[in-house]
Amino acid sequence: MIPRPTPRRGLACPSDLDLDELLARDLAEANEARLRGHLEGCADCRARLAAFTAVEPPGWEEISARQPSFSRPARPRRWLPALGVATAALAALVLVARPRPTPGPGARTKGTLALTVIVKRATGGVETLTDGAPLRAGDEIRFSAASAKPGYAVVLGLDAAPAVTVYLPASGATPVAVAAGSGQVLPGSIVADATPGTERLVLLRCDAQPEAPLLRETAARALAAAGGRPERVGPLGTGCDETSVLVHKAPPR
Amino acid sequence: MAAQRNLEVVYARHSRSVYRRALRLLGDAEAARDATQEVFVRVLRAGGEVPVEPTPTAWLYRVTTNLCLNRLRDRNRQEALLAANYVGADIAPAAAEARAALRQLLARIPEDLHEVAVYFFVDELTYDEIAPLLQVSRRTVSNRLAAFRTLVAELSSERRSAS
Repeated sequence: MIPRPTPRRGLACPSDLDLDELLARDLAEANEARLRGHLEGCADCRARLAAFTAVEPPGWEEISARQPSFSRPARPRRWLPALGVATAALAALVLVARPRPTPGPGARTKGTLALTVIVKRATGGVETLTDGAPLRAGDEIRFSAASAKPGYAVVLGLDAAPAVTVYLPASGATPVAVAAGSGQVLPGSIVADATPGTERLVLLRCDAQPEAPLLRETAARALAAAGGRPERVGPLGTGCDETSVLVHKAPPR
Repeated sequence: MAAQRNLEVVYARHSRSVYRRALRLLGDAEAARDATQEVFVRVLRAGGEVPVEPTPTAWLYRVTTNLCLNRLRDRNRQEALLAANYVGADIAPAAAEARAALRQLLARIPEDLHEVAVYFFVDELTYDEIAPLLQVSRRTVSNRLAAFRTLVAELSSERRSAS
């Protein structure tokens, strides 16, 4: 056998690669269970794992700014950021906001988290959307949250493209903290364009600062599982509290 | 566009392990950031997808390792990495003088043996762990490590005879 220095890890301890695979959720269920079992009984390995998670890699925003080829070309959006919208289409849309049906496992919504959609009409006036209230292209939407617990807010849009868009926090923006309480208007707004279709707007409240790309990936899986139909999407299973409204943007009458 | 979207997801999941590995091998935060970026450039060229065999993390581990070894253009640094972790029958790793001698020896060893040596001596992976990572047999791992050690021993002997 080839000699080498005194091992830094015990004979039964996982390698650095094993720990990285655990953190990346690469391992098969049985291997992950075995590894987690070892960690429960090995303080040294728990310390190693903690040291791994303490490493802060460069953020996506930094790395994509340094490497322009990483940036995605803009795709046509069903909603437009409020800033920079030059024109408003003439089509009338209808937005119907209704609570999600019975929450499933992983969706802890009732009484803990609520989403209110506030509309500033292109023609003037501000109101809270109710079922069946018409929404015209150019109307500006903001979100208001009520939460039983403090945390970080994320708003996702799941549309029928099918695609998932992170509306909040805006790309490159810092995480949005929410406190325990009601009537918390979240930063930023979006403006409805004239594209008809159905979209589910999901508000998440996470205990830790969320990694938006991972949440988007999770939402994309849920959307795919629902056959790409936002109205059929069940709980996303992100581990965060969640609530949502379903938006149906009908073509002009 | 799909490639970029995939890349962002892959980055969120794996950037920490890639960066940590680069930092471990290069020992410099800025160099590790550059290496991390370069690894994901390669992922983008592959359509934003990472092979699932042996695992995505293992594939990125290997890409990062080879990239970092290539980045250590100053062979002294590459050799220092191995010398600090290698112990052979004839050279004790504790003495700075011995490590310097080993670095000189490593400079004469083919680079393709360095990768397997890094996994064994630096990462402390076993034969059974290295084999799937390199996607070779356990015997091949054993042979490459034996070739590495034999070369070190031969060169060490030559050095002693010359002095």
